[in-house]
Amino acid sequence: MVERQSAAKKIDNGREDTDEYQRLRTLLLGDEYEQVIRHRITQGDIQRVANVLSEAFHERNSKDQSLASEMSPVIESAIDTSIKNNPSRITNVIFPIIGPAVRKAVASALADMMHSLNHLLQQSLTAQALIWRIKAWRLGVPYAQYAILQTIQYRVEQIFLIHRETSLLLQSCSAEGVSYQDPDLVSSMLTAITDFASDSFNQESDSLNVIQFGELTLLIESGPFAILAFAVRGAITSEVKQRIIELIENIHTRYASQLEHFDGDITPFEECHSTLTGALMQKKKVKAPQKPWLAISLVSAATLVALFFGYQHWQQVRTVEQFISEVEQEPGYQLLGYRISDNQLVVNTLRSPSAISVEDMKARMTAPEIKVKIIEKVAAIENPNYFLPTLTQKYGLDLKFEFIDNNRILSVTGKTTPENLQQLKQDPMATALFDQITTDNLVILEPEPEQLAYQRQFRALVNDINNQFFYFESATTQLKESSRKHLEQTIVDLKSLVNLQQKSQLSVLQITVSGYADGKGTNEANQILSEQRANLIKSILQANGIENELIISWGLGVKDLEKVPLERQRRVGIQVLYQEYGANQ
Amino acid sequence: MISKKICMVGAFAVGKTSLVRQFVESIFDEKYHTTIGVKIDKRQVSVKDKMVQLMLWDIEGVDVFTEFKPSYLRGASGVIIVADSTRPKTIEVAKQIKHEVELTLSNAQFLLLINKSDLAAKWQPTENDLIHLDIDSNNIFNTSAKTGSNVEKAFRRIAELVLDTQVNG
Ligand SMILES: Nc1nc2c(ncn2[C@@H]2O[C@H](COP(=O)(O)OP(=O)(O)OP(=O)(O)O)[C@@H](O)[C@H]2O)c(=O)[nH]1
Ligand SMILES: [Mg+2]
Repeated sequence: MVERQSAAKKIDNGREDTDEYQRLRTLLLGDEYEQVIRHRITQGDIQRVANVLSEAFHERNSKDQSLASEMSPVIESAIDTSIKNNPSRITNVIFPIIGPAVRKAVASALADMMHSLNHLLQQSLTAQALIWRIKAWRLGVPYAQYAILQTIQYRVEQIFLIHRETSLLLQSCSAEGVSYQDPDLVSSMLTAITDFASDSFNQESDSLNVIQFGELTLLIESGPFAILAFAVRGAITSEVKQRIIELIENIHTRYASQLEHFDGDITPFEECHSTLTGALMQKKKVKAPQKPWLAISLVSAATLVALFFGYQHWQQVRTVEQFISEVEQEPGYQLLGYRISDNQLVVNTLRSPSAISVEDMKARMTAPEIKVKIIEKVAAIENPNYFLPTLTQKYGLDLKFEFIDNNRILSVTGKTTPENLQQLKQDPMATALFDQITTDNLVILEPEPEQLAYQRQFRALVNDINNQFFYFESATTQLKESSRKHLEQTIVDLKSLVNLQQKSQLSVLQITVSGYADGKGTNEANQILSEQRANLIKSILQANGIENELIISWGLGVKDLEKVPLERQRRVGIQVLYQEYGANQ
Repeated sequence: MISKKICMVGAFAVGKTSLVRQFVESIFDEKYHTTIGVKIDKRQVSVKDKMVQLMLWDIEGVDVFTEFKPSYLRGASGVIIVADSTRPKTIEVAKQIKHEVELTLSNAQFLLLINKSDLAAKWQPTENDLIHLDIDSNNIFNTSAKTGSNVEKAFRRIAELVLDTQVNG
């Protein structure tokens, strides 16, 4: 301030000075002097301070801590005001961060509980407890955890992801075999019910998060923008609760902007279907152990008995596995399936008459301490065609049975890999049924050379990139939310492409970025806008490490037919040109 | 696909439930079962080659026992206000509700249905009513849930309106 005033004064004085003085000054200081003076006057104080503000902060900060202590009351009150004005804004920011912290606290509380429960349970010495102890030991999980899992049983049957504001269904899935109720209606009703409840009970938050519907329990977890509901049959465990919380946080992180700007279009959420399906968890209650053992309840006797029982059960599982694998190996036997019912192993097989009988096979088994019932279908040898569908299905080949010179010949046609053919030749069923396998008309696929595989990958990436367009908001260079994500993907693709060059011996020649505008507005404005859009994408690519020399960008103005919807006209496309390594060198 | 939430509001027994039923199932019932809370239905309509799924929230009518609950309106793109052509008081309720809805929803599209057009009308909206309601005359329909007259047209209109807001927005 002081400086500027004196400078101004000098000028004023200068005007009163004589011509000579003026000339002397010009001679001594040159044109520059005038320029500096003028600059100083025209540039306001604010502007000048603004120019050096961050440097000044930096400078002072490196000297002492006073800046921080001066700023902190200002920042505190700024945060205060911001929260008061719009509390949801800050919640939205904090939500993804605070979730894991809370979970951690809960997890440690839970671990404590588990520990004391474990202690409690260790006091009990029932037969049941011992069996579980052995099983827990075998599974490598803490005993308490195992015990809890055994006493509960649940199944997540349906999952709904609901947009909170509109209560519209974003995505849903259901467990296999579950009769599907109209998920759109369910999701709307669900939010209506929670709204109703929070209205009626004057609750501030949506704290109604469990609703009982007969056998089904609805577990509801709300985030700032979306609600997740699990329809669970049976008891809800902490595992399920944890999963639903993780999932809703995950969805908020992944779809933050899509959720915030949701306009009724659910297509962006289709890709989270598999994530939801992954959360259709279930836990089955293990069948209670046999009664006789449990009846014996003298402590010492029970210990022994239960130990034996636990061992026996473990033995049984091993035996079943062993038995099944032996059946599979047996020439002339084809395993169709097996199950354990009433403590008996029931095996379904297809047997060729030339194979040994069931009894003989059972006798030969190394681990026969198990009740086994074998249901066999014996197929007449005169007609090996009977077996062909099984083999065909197993190996995906065209198979034909021929009887030549008293030889049973399996002729194989189609296309296959060498490994697959090898397996067929060693298949116990095939070897038992046929004397000979001919492969004259079989096309054996050569394993693909590595370079070809990389080239295929390269071309697929180019295809993906070339087919992706990025769309813009009307009359701006602002990318649509969905396109932002596509652009991220394209950048990843482009990088993979660059990395694949060496291995595939294909090289990227040029990345062409072309911008378009919609038919609204003047031609000149559209030309400029289309260039700006292309440049924006180009600069994003560069900022993400795509080599500068490869990219060219141009604006094409309006090029589309009138029938193309305006929102699709407002776009940028990327074309990758490539050639074989050294083709031009 | 695009889904939109539409709310049916108005005085009690004006025919909100009947209108939705006519539109969704093509059924009319003389019997009156008052709605408690909210009943939700849906139907798809195509507007300009686009499929729109309308989620129809049939909200309990306003009477001396039931006050209007704005929380049901959350996230609605369209609001259909229903009045009864045989009960002049229902337009007063409609005006009142319109006012309350506007406090909750900033960008909703409105439709006014004067229902039971199959019966002799006991009133007509006055100039003053229309100014108060501030609804474009293109968005006012005389409907009958009984004969189905104008029902399809009215719901189509709201679909168009809510879809238009999206394209401009
Ligand atoms: N004649 C005639 N009767 C109608 C019409 N629409 C509804 N009604 C009758 O009016 C009565 C009330 O209809 P509702 O559809 O239940 O009315 P509402 O607005 O849903 O009522 P609340 O749920 O209590 O708010 C019923 O007896 C219907 O049969 C119509 O267009 N013409
Ligand atoms: Mg009703």
